[in-house]
Amino acid sequence: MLEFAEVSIGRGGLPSCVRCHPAPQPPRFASDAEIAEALRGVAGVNVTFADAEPFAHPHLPQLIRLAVSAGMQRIRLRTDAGALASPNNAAGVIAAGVRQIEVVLLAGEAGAGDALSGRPGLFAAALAGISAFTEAARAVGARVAVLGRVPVCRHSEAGVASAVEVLASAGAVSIDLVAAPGHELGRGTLDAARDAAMVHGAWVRHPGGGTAIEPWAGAGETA
Amino acid sequence: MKRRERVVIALVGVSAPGYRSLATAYLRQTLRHDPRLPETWITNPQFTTAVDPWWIAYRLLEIDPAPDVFGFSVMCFNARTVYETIRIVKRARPDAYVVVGGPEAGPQAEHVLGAYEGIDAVVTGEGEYALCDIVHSLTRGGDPGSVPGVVARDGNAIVAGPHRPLIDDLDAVPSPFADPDMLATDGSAYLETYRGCPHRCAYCYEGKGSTRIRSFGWDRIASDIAALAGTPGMRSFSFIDPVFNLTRERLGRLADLMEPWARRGVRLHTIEVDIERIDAEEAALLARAGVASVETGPQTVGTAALTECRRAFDPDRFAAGVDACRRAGIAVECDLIIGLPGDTADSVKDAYDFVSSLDPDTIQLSTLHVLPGTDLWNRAEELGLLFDPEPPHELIATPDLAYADLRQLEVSGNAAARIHHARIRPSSPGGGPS
Repeated sequence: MLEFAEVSIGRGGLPSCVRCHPAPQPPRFASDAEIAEALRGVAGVNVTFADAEPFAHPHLPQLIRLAVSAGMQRIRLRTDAGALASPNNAAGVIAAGVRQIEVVLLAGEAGAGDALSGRPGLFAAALAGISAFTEAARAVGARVAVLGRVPVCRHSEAGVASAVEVLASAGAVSIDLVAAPGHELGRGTLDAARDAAMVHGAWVRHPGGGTAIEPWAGAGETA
Repeated sequence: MKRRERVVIALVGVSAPGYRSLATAYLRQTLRHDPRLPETWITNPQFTTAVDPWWIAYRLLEIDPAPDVFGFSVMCFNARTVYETIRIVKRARPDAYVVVGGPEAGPQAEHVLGAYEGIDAVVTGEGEYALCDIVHSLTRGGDPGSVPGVVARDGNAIVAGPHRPLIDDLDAVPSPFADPDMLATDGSAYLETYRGCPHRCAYCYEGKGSTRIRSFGWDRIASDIAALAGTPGMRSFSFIDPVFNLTRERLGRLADLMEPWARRGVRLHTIEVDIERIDAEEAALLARAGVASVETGPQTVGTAALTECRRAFDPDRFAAGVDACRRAGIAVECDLIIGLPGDTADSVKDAYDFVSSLDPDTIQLSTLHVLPGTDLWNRAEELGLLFDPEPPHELIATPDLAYADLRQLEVSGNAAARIHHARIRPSSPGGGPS
């Protein structure tokens, strides 16, 4: 698949396990100048705004303009997607040039998801946001892509396959499983996640994992 | 059927969503112009594969006066819908005569008649004159089984008429666009300027096993273009010619014919081309013709697959052709087939990587369908191709790719393509994202 450069727009605000991180730091955001400098260093035309919730960044529209001005053609937001359900947000980011969202989801149902994130209502908001994004794209004929990102720790691993299924059912075409530092995904988890995604036409990746499931894997090539 | 003075014919089009059947339009016009036929009342109901056969049958059985003859054009993608519709219609109307043709049924006529008892006759090749002869035979109380190019039921037997050669004089076939009732709709209409294909790709039935090209005359082509392009509201249509740039001279003449319409804003989409022959001059001709997008291969870049499929491939010329189109402002769609004999997972990935490196506007991946009448269909056992015997005959496995491998390549490849497509272009009007 295409390589995307990650540009950090700050820190915090994206869903994370409250049992692993019981006292999350308040979000802080990189300045426009820092982000512009980072964009100048990007090789290629594909960029992901990462590390902080983009819709909480006070200058998100400007960040997108900076990316467009820097020649980026594929602009991806890593997000909890909740804000996309708010009126005009989805249409606004698409009009500005965003064509891809990478939705961070911790579990496959609201109870577990909201408990893990410590944010009641976030799970439902994420699904509503995905729906709003794809609908807004359809309204203007824009080709977009929804991707998924499932952080995995010992508290959330049991629900990984379910989270993958939810994302795939919502239209994600590719879903990354990202293990917490020091945590290794079980082979059974990876197999279950891949199968859950496949039947919904989505591809699962485990970047950097010891049991990688990379695209174009041949018969039996899963490690 | 008894001898009769009037015959009612329903030519049923079942197309992909958004399209209408050109084949049944040709049949309708040819029937209308056949002086041998008695009074004919012809209807041409159009459906898509999104409509349940039960409701297609409802619509057909509601036609008044009730059709004596139902005709269907069968392709791999509509076959299940058509055959189910026929099953229902024939059960409700056992006295109706059902004829099918098209690339799914024609090459395996005996099998189709054996498998689907509701079908009375299969046209094995071009249908225009064959269907006229069938209707002529029926109205005279004759036997369609003796009609050239037709395989038909005769009691409990299946009989085949003599071979029917391909139509030499295509201009003698009445134009479907001369039919005032032929509604061409923006974005979904298409026409042909010739029949046949210069290539003999093993997975394709376009050439029917021959490289012979039969062209319509230029007056006819000009007339058809004018009829289509001049339809009120028409902004975009396509040509189904398998190679639009058959020769540079021909491309130039097509550009001459299309240019007046292109100047008025009419655009041609998904025009199929041999991209390795496109240079700046040909790209300019395409642009002058109003071509907004082209569709091309390479389908595969694997040496073994290219050999088995009788395809040539020059990566440098391919890349140059893509570049020439892009410089002329023409969007490029590159097609890849997953599962060609000789291809492995690695060679499929190599093909994707090659195409992706050219940065086309669209990358289209599809899994091989082993189609009736093709070289791969005839050699499937020799090549070890396992495929669904039911239409659309999707590939199940090859010696190099198991079932699961194929599904994984499809899903991962399509994910990569969707990510590729989701972009803005910096060259859009006004400089903003598009």
